[in-house]
Amino acid sequence: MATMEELLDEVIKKALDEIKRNADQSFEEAKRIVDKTYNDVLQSYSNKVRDLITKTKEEIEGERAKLDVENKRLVASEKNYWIEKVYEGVKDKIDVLLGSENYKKGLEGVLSREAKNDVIIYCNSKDVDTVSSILNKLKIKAKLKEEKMLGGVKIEFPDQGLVKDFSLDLLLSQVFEAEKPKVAKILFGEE
Amino acid sequence: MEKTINVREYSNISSIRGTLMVIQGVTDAAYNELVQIELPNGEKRRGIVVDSYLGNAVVQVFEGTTGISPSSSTVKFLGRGLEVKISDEMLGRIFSPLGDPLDAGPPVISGEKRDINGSAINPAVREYPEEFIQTGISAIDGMNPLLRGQKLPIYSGSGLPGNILAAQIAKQATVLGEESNFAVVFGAIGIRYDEALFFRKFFEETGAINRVAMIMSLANEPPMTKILTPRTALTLAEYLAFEKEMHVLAILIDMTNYCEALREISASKEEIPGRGGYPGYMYTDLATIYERAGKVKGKKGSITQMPILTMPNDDMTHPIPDLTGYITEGQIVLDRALYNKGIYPPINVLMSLSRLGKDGIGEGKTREDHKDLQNQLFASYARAIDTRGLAAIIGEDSLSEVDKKYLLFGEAFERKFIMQGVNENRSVETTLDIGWDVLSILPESELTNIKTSYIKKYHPAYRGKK
Repeated sequence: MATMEELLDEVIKKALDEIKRNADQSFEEAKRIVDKTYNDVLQSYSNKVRDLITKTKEEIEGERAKLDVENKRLVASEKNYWIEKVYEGVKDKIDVLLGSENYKKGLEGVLSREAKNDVIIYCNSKDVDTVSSILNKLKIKAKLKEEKMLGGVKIEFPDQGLVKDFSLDLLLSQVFEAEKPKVAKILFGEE
Repeated sequence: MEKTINVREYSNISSIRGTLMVIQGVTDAAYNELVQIELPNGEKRRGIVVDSYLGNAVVQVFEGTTGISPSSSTVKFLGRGLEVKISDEMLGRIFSPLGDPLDAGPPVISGEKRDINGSAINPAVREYPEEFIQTGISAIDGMNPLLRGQKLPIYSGSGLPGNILAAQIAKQATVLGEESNFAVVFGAIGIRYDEALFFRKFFEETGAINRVAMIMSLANEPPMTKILTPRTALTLAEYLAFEKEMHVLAILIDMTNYCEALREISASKEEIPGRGGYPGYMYTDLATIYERAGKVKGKKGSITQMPILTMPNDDMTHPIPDLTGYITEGQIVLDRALYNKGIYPPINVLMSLSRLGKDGIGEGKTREDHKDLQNQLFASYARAIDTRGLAAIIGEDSLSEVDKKYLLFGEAFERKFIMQGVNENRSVETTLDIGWDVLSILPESELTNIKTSYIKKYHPAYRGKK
């Protein structure tokens, strides 16, 4: 009878609808899960990429800074080399000063102020005669000894165990140290 | 006018005791005059006049007196005090407290010779600190902010990561809007060799080396060298700040080593000891270091100081942290309990304080809600700590709902706000946003220290909504 078939169709239709509904729901749920997982993974990898970029940027900055500092050190070493060359040049040309009147007056000034009887005076071989004549002029009885130095004198007071240094070596090193910035400016220009 | 060079050489060494040497027949030695000792083998060592009496001068030898014979060594008094050639060339390099390069580079070429003892800033020309310095560390920027010209020490403990924190601050600190004019002078006093290596590598690898000048003395060096280290560092800081108009952060680590060296020298001079065996003048001595910080009227630059000291036995009443606290403008305290929980940096915000911080935050400086947020975080965290104590007695289940929220807040505050990575540099906005995030754990009714308008604007529940 038709009624049985209709009933069967009805039941099958209802069952199919139910299955379709469930399938749709499952599909939606699965889609939600997939979307969520996709977003989570995307977020996680985005964070990893961001961290990697930051880390790499920092590494690059670090390398750049290291190179900058190394470069600065090398440039400074090179500058120092040429400044030392100038210093050596000045030392070689100091003989020009030794013959001048001002130098002799300077020696006389130091000896008249500091030298006493029975002291030992050290000077270089070229200044022996000059120092001798100054001591005679000042009427000071002192021993004269030669020592390797650029110029000037050292005065030893044996009773006190004291040596006073008025050598050109000391003077030149102090003055050159003070004038180093000016020398650097002349050689390498304004920084 | 040029200085007269007055170099005298003596050979009458009458006695040698420890690192001290007595030279007879010296009547014109100036206190703190620099001397050079020449040994028979040509070796030269340096020292300083620490005492002068009855025609004798007492010299402290920097490199120690081992191998110095009284009969064949000579002592040259150089006629000048401790002067070091200071220059902006020192940025990116490492020097000893006497100005000798330690990084295989050449000595400083241009610059000025300065007496490292410096002089106190005229109080009448001091300016009040008001500009915020961003350290990138939430526990400092958010809760105990550092201002330009302030002196804010870090109180660390044995084994706590004070070194790592110092290095991170040196790398990250900046004045907002003036990043290019910021420099760090790092004074490392009596540190171990591995610590020296750590600092050097950290600055090189993170790119901070370019703006950092290190003045360094190692643990095995004579105590006098350690005494000179912060002085040279601050002389350089003063030059960079007031001549070159830079914003300078001077980090001195570890002031405990400095005080121990002071104690050693005082004992060797047979001075009467004060509290804890430290010299009675330690307060004044520390003040001469800490007071070399600040802003000066008419000068664009400034010196901000962050001395770091290790509290012996974590005891804040020990003379070193105690006296430091009298002079400086607050303190950042590292906590062992936080460190044991794996929190870095382990800053105890309840024990820390920045006395000037309130004047450098707020609208136009950091953000309008900074003050209120800071107060609320402090109050809520204090209550969270109290609640932990209560929970330990009555049990967590017996707590009210609000109290349970405070427990959660406390944990979140420590794990999200305080805790951050060694290389994590947080902007002040990020710090404040994280503060709001952790406060959102509490009911809104508990946020009694914050204006309603700020809650409606910055609270995560309302953020971005109109």
